[in-house]
Amino acid sequence: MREPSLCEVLSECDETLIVRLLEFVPEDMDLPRAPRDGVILMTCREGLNETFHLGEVLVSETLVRWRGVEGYAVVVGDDPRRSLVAAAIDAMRQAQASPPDLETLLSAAADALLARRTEDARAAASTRVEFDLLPGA
Amino acid sequence: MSYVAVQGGREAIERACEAYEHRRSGRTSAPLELDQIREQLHLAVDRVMGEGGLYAPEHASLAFRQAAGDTFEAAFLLRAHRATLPRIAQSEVCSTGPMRVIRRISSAFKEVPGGQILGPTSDYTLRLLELDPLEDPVERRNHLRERLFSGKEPEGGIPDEFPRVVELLRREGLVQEVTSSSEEPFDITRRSMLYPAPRSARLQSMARAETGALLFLAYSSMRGYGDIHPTLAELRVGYVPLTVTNPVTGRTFVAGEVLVTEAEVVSRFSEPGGEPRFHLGCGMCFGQNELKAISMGVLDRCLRSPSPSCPAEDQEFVLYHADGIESMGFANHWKLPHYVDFLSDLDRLRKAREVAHARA
Repeated sequence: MREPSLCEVLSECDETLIVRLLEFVPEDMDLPRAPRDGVILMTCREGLNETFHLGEVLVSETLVRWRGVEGYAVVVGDDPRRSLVAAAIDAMRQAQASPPDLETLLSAAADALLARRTEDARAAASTRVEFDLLPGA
Repeated sequence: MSYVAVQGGREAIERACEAYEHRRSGRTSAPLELDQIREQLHLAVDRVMGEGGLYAPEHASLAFRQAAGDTFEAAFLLRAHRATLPRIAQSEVCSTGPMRVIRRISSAFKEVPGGQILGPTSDYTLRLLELDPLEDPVERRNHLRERLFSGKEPEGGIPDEFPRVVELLRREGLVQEVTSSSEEPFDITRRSMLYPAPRSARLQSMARAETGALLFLAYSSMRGYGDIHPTLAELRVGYVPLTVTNPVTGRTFVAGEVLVTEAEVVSRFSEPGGEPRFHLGCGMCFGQNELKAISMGVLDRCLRSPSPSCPAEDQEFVLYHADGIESMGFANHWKLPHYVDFLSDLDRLRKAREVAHARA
């Protein structure tokens, strides 16, 4: 199963984790693009290889600058704190200054998300079916 | 006929709005929480997102509650909210290949690569009302959880990627390919559609059309007002990664997952002088909305008919009438004051009757 990205983890984690992660956001961080809600136009490719716009997805976006690096994030949903935290972590990781405690929290959240997805897959797998034709059909 | 501007009755209008809100909030029942709507009425929430053209489960739940369960009104609220938001970017082209599948079936083949996964569905129930109010819903939920997740791991698991069923036909050269446009997909939210519309515009338009409207039109073709007799090559429901580009680094990343339903229908077709082949129709929409995706797939095929012969094959007929918000808005506008026009009509009718009586 695909490893969830940072933004996926932060778009789906509990509110309490976001509150804890906000404490790690450096105070001296600049916000060239403050957290804002918006939409991403979702473009898809269908079975005949045509690309078309399926619709728009509500997201939150943030761009931060810290110690000469720029952190950027788009998170599904309209919670600006989530994209702020994601962008801040992106910048801290680039600056190789992400605190170990923060990474531990993120790792646990990623594991929890992966566990939920594994559970979904297990439920789906339990409905796998093999049909047999009736005699004479 | 057109409506006219009127004034007055402000207090009555305010009371009417309050009366609606009061009726909606119920007399004695517990207030509806958004998470209850999002989780327990998820098919309605999915429908609202699809018809509103905005993937936002929380907001769709809010709209559904505010609209007292009216999906037309809820989709209108959601689409209106979308109009207040800036468009940040366009995603990378998302494929349903890496979809995290929760359901995937084929009615064309008994055995398909990756297997058939029934997933969460009421397709195989008897449609009997569950008249058992004594059963504790929490106890029932725990019981279902126990049934689904305890015991040994199901054999086979779920592959990370399911091959498309239609590829089995394509390998034998049995699928009529369509020349896909190399241009940027048409965006109906930014440009007016002209007919004949490019296929990308038709697909976008149907992806946010009203479910019942698409079903009605597709059903007309299936029953005989048209000649599309579809077979469902594949129906899949699952979560597709929304991939966007970081404008600073140029690298792509996944911003989150979007629940999508995709249907691929095939129908046999013979072109004069050509080899008989299957024509493919594709349907895709937000959320789990299987009727919509199947209907869209049928209509996608109908709208490629070289000589349209029925309403479901007529682009203008289908695309002008399938949007729920436009059709609902037009039907609703008859409730607005048409006093002046109607008086004029009444006047003309009376005069016409006088003339008719005088002649008699």
